Amino acid sequence: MTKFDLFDSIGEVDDEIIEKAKQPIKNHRKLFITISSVAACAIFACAGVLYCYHTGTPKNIYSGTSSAVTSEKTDNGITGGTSSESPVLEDSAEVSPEEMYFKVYYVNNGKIEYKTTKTSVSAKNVFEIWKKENHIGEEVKLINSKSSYENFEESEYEYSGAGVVKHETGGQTIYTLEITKNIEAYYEDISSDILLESLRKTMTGMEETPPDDYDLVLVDESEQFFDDASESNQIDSDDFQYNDRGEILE
Amino acid sequence: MNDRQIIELYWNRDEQAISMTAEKYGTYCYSVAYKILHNEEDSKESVNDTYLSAWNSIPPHKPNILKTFLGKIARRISIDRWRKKNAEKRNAEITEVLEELSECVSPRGNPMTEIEKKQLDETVNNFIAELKDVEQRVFICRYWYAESVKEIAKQFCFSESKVKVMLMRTRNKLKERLEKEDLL
Repeated sequence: MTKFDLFDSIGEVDDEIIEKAKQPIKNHRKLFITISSVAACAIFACAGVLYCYHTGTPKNIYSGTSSAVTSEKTDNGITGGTSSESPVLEDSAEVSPEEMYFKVYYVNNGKIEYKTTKTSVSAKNVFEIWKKENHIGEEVKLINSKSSYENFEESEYEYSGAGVVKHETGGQTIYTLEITKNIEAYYEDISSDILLESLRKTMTGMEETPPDDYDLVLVDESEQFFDDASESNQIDSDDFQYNDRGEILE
Repeated sequence: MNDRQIIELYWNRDEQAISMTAEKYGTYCYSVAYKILHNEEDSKESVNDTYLSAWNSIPPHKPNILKTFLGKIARRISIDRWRKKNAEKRNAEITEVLEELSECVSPRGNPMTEIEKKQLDETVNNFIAELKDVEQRVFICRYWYAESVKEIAKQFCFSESKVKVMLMRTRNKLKERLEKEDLL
């Protein structure tokens, strides 16, 4: 037996073992750090509340509005929420993920090509690299990115020559990407189909196991702003008094 | 497209199977190949050979886990390519991996018969399956994925010396096992 025989034999180990080796592990040190961080945050929050209580600071110290701001943590440290402002990417709070190779697709002479790049794989980084490769300006922003899992309750049955075959459909993963609508300004230079296809390939390619489905949402930031502004500045016509000619009385 | 649908494409001899495989597992196969070859061109060629090999082996094969099935092919092709092309200027990491494994085999390595090879595969598989969870993961990362000790240490939040000691102990256990099974 040679070292190559042994190397080859290790190569033939069960698929489940190979798959398991790359799955995240429950590490005691990591767990300790997580628990410590959570505990520290909880203490800090309690201290803040107590301080406000004793000094008489208004209860709503966060946004100055009465609406509660809920934040949804999605993959890669991107946050979204129900606040009036557009969700933004979290930078400082994110632990830098491990660097790895991935493909960035870009449009070259009307064709999609790719190059392999090594970087910290987060949605933000990958999107920025994709923008650079496709000469997309800074005004186009990534708003949100998340993977979700959708369960199918029913199994599919299919008739084949051998009889009825049952397909265990289980469910599917859906990758949702939200970016600003101003990307449409680039459709004049590059066909929207291939540009968005290169985006899809790049963003879904960074997933360890690519999703079964993909959903791209273009968000109009300016409309969002005007919607919010019009809601907040809405004036009730009953607040005014009119004369006989229909003019507003001061 | 899920794995079952991709495998169906292979069985239907639909060439779209290759493009779907490339799209879904191209990066994974490339990373497996690159860990061994450390060369972009060679790694790309290995990945292309992997698709061809998958095309030729499905059917009759129907892999349970398509990802690891492709990973195994990519690994096998990459180590063959490495042996052919880099016999002299060898990549440090894979050389180290193989040198470590040579501690577990007899200095005069005789060619193995098919039966011995099958027995070795079974013994190694059982040995790895019986390892404790962390030992198993570290062992696979080192000797399957050919990752560096530094990479493994970072991944598991261990010190490099801890990883080295763990690997050495596992190799010793493997050697004992191979001796016990009369494979050395």
